[in-house]
Amino acid sequence: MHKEPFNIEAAIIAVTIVFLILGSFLVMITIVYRKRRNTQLIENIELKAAFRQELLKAQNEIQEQTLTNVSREIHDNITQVLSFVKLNLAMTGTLSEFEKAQKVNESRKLVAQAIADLRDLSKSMSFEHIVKLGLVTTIEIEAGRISKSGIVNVAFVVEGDTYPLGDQRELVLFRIFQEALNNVLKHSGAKLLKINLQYSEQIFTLTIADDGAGFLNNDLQKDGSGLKNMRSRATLIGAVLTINSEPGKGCCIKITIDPLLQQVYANANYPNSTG
Amino acid sequence: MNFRLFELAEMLALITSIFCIKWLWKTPYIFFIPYLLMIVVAERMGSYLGKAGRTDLNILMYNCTTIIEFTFFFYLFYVNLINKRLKNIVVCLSLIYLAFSAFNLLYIQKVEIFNSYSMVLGTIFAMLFVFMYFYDLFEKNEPLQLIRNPMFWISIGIFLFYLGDFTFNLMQPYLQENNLKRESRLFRLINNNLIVFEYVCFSIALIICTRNPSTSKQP
Repeated sequence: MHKEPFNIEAAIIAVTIVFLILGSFLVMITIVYRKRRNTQLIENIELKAAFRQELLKAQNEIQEQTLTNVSREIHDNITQVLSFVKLNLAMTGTLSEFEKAQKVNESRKLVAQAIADLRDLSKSMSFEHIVKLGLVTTIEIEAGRISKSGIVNVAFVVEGDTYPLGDQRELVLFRIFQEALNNVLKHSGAKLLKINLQYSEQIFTLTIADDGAGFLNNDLQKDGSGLKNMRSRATLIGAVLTINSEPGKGCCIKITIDPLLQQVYANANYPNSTG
Repeated sequence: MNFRLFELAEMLALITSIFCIKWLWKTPYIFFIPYLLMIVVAERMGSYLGKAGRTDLNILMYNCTTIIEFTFFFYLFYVNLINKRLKNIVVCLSLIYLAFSAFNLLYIQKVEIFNSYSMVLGTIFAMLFVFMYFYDLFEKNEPLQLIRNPMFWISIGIFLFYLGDFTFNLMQPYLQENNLKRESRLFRLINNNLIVFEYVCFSIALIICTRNPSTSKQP
């Protein structure tokens, strides 16, 4: 009986001290956890900002590239056609009625072609048409334009049931495609360009292959700014870009995206996501 | 006048709140001024009534101020929580606490003795709300500097104080029944230091409001 008061006192104080230690521990855990979460959130915000910046850059480059294409198209094609029409019409004064009719008919066809070309050009005047038309149609229009120029023969193939990859993702993919196309036209001297879009449930693949001059694999280590840009942009949208090339055997650029990762990417909550 | 250390801590918090009134205005923390005023006055009156042998009045005052104290803390948690479901839980449990405390004061333990049941219930709810607040902080999807958040300091103060007080409050009816006053005195030592810690935390929270008005107006 004499020991009882001491026991209660000790018990109360011991339990209190244990509670206080546990409480302090919990407060420490909260502070540490929140610090880690802050770091993670800041990283995520920085990545999102980098993505937005890169997207804006890609949009500007598409715009620039489109304007270059438009000016070239106007100079090389439409101006030529219209000059020819002008010449035809100027000549009609000295021709017989039959020849006049022939020339007018020919001119009408040329004007119709110029109108069609202008219509095609107006379609590619802004990057918004990529969002409107989708990646497949936009690449198809671009392929058609290149094919029509006669510089290179283009084989365009779409496999599988198409599905949207997301506006921003398609925009970046189109910019990578445009960059690859530029490289083919400027440096490869290729006669044939194969563009393949493969849609499967597991993966989306865009392949751009040419039969041009190609280059050494060692040159890939040096990566010109164009190839570097393509790689970094692919990473930014969660895609993988591979380049295979050998001197004299052309070049093959392959961009693959995992559609499952795309969902995560679209949510932008996935800690490892670049979105 | 002979002030004890924890009384000085309470007065310090009151003075801080008065100095910070400009920044506390239009924030929920403005209620700290009447709350701290009540605590300081109650502490002084309690000391006076204890010396005068008016234990009955002292206990009545203590029982009433405790209800106001918990209600104020619950209000702070309510305005600082973001999650609507958690807010609703705070409202429901606060109403349960108020109803039980009134019932306890009038019918169970009554006014003559310390209302330990209400105290234990209030303590459990206060600690639960601190957990809910921490959970809410975990859920926030924006970078947050905890040590610059006034409510975080208030939560720490409340949490550690009531955690330290919990065992004693739980054992209070037994100690009263067996007239074990020595235990109460020893426990007071721990309790008084925890009061100092709690009110220092409140003072820090009030000072933070002046440094970061946007945080203090967040709710």
